[in-house]
Amino acid sequence: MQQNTFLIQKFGMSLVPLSSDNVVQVLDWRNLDFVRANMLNQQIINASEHQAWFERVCHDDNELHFVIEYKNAGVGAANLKLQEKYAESGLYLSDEAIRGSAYAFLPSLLLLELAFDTLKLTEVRATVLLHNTSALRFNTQQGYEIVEENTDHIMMRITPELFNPKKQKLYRFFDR
Amino acid sequence: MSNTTLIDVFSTSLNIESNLVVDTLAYSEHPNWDSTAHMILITDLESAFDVMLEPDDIIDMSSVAKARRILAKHGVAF
Repeated sequence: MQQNTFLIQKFGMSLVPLSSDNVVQVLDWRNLDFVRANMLNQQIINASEHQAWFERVCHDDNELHFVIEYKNAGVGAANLKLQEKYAESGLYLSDEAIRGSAYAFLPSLLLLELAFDTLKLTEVRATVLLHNTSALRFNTQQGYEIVEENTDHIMMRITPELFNPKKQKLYRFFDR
Repeated sequence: MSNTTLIDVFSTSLNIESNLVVDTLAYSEHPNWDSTAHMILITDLESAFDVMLEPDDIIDMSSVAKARRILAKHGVAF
């Protein structure tokens, strides 16, 4: 089994490695209507499909999956999928209060910090559905830039050079 | 005075007409109110009312009515 032992936390927000202890709640979140609406795959996922996915990612060294916790309560999920030249990031929030607040930025900042500062990656990409203007604004605030636009989605990228100036400014908001 | 300021800040931060800033205006009720706008809103409210909000206040500030209640807790009179 892959040893995803990364635990990263700041200002009460944590990225906790996905495990058999927290994988069940992830299925409930993934199937929420407002979560599925912004996914490339919007189908309801059943328990056996979810278990098969969990067993696959546990043995895939190129996928790091996390549960996002705020003050020790699960509020969403995040992942990094390592490709040859970059990593793809994925993130959703199941907690509506966090999702609609400025605190939605924190798990994404932590994920990028893990990617650039710990894993020393040089580029992270994110796919955003064209209609998800909030995610486009959200990513742009963190320094993402558009790589390509397709009929239904946009590919965005971020590098340490793009992220670091934004990171300092955003973290200042949470330093209270 | 404080109520006018509150309406002005919401209107500017969320980029909406001031007549839409009513107590029932909430995060899930308007497309302009997303997490990015929320961060701008909090920063502008703190500046306009000279307060520093706690993290739980920020997360809880999901409507105009709640904003007024939270600011009142920090000594702002409406």
